[in-house]
Amino acid sequence: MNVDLEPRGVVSVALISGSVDGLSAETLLARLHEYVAEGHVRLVADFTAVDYTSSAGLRALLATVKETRRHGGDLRLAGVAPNVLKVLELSGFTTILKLYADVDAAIDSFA
Amino acid sequence: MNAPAAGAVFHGSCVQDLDRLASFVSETCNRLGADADTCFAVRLATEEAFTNVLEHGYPAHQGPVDISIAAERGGVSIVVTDQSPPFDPARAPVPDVSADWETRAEGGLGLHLIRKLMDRVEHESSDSRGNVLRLFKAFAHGDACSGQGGGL
Repeated sequence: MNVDLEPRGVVSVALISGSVDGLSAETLLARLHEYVAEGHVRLVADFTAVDYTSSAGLRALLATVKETRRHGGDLRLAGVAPNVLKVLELSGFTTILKLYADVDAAIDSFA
Repeated sequence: MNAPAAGAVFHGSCVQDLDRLASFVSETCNRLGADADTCFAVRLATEEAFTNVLEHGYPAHQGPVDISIAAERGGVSIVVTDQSPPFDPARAPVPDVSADWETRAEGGLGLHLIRKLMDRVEHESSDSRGNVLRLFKAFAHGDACSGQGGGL
């Protein structure tokens, strides 16, 4: 699992790839927390290249949603694959997080 | 009638074994001819079961967990065994999946996902034998096939 940050104006895109499981979710959470601490509170998580998540990944997303919203921003997801989306739906996360078909739509939603 | 495909057994003991578990699930499901959606569900259910035992069953968060996967009448059968103290899933707290983001607890989804993803979930335990969790997931299209899509 890899995470990189791509600033796009007032919004920053976290490019995530691979599988988010009980091992890699800790890395994901730590990186997202760093981005927020650096002031990137309007975050888009690009999930186009994420092929799997477990509940550990959901914990990382929820913690980041809470942190960004408490700083006046948000974490929004883009390009979530069908199986990953199903996990979000089963966990009730689709009512907590805002999801978009692609990164550009997610960035535009912050306007 | 074709003989059922033989299964395989994974032996793990700590969270660092998750990569190996994922490989085991992928290889075994492919060999059994499971579709991609079934493989995904099996991978997720086994990870959640494995990490639940480590986090809640063993005081030092490590200990023996064996996972077997085999073909069974139109689906995949999974058996997770451990040597931790008896656990009653009925007593596990149920997550509130309708809670809003501010009050939503960050954990507790593992067993919930297992129950939602698997077609059958059975548990037994004893002081002398630890816990046995038996799961069953039907193939998406009723029999083993490859490359076909389907829902979880």
